[in-house]
Amino acid sequence: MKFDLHQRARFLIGEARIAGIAPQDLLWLRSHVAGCAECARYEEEVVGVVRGIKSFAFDSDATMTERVQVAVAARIRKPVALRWWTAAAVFLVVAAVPLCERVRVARREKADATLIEGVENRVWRAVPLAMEPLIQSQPEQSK
Amino acid sequence: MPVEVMPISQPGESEAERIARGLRRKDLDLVRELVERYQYRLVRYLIFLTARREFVEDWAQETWVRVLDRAAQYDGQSRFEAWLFSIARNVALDDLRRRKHLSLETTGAEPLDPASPFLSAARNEEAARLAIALGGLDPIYREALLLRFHEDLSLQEIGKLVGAPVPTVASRIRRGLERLRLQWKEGADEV
Repeated sequence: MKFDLHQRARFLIGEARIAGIAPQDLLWLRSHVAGCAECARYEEEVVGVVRGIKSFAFDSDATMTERVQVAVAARIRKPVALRWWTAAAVFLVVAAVPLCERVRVARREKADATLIEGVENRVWRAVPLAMEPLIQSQPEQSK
Repeated sequence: MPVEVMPISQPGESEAERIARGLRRKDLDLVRELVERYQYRLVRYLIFLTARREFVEDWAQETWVRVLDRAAQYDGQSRFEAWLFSIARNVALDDLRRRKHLSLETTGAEPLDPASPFLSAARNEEAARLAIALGGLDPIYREALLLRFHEDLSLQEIGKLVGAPVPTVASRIRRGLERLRLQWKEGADEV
């Protein structure tokens, strides 16, 4: 038995299924296997194993696929919902800025009015009643 | 009112490019179609990789979520399933590490659990012998055999997926095939 020829044949039997072999190697292999029962049996075993691997089938769980689809769909919708909430938040902020400004102005005007009123009251109290006609005539004089 | 539909292939566009375009748009119909079409193969890959079935649903779900998160990384220049499996591989290995299991590269062949997913999938005596042999095989060999013979990926595609050079991939397939053949034959001789 020429060991190296059988070794070559077995290498080519595997290689033909793993990466493919050149046409001249395939021709040589076919002629060798045709005349060598041992290598032919080896090839049958390799073919059987590959066929066995290919035929392996697990029970498919349709409900698992559905659950995964639902989870993935929720993942896609989440950013969309997030986008809407973000837009709503931005709108609220934009709308709130002039409102706050108006409130601030109103408060300032009210505070100013209170201050003026307070000042006027203090002035009023500080001025003796007898001098009141003088104060009332001042704006007229300034005009 | 225009209805949002699954992206239809544009002229000259490959299937992988259509998928890449749809993923970038986060097209829900396309994602549903992909889950429907690839879920079984994804589950089969994860079982072949880990020989475990109990965490497969979680891994599959996390894989699809990552597919969406990383949609921009898929350019449609390679087969979608190769990209999908590479994500699934990282998901499963990360989770197994978190669960304090050993990584695929360091773990040895563990004794086959009678509830092994391979054994429960076996439909006849010959398949049962192969199931026992598969369960006893190192995960890296099992993975390479699945990707080559079930998924029909090229050695280059497998190398890219598992992060190994092509000669290493070829060697894993060769050794895996030989070990399976020997164990399968031993089982046949015993019978």
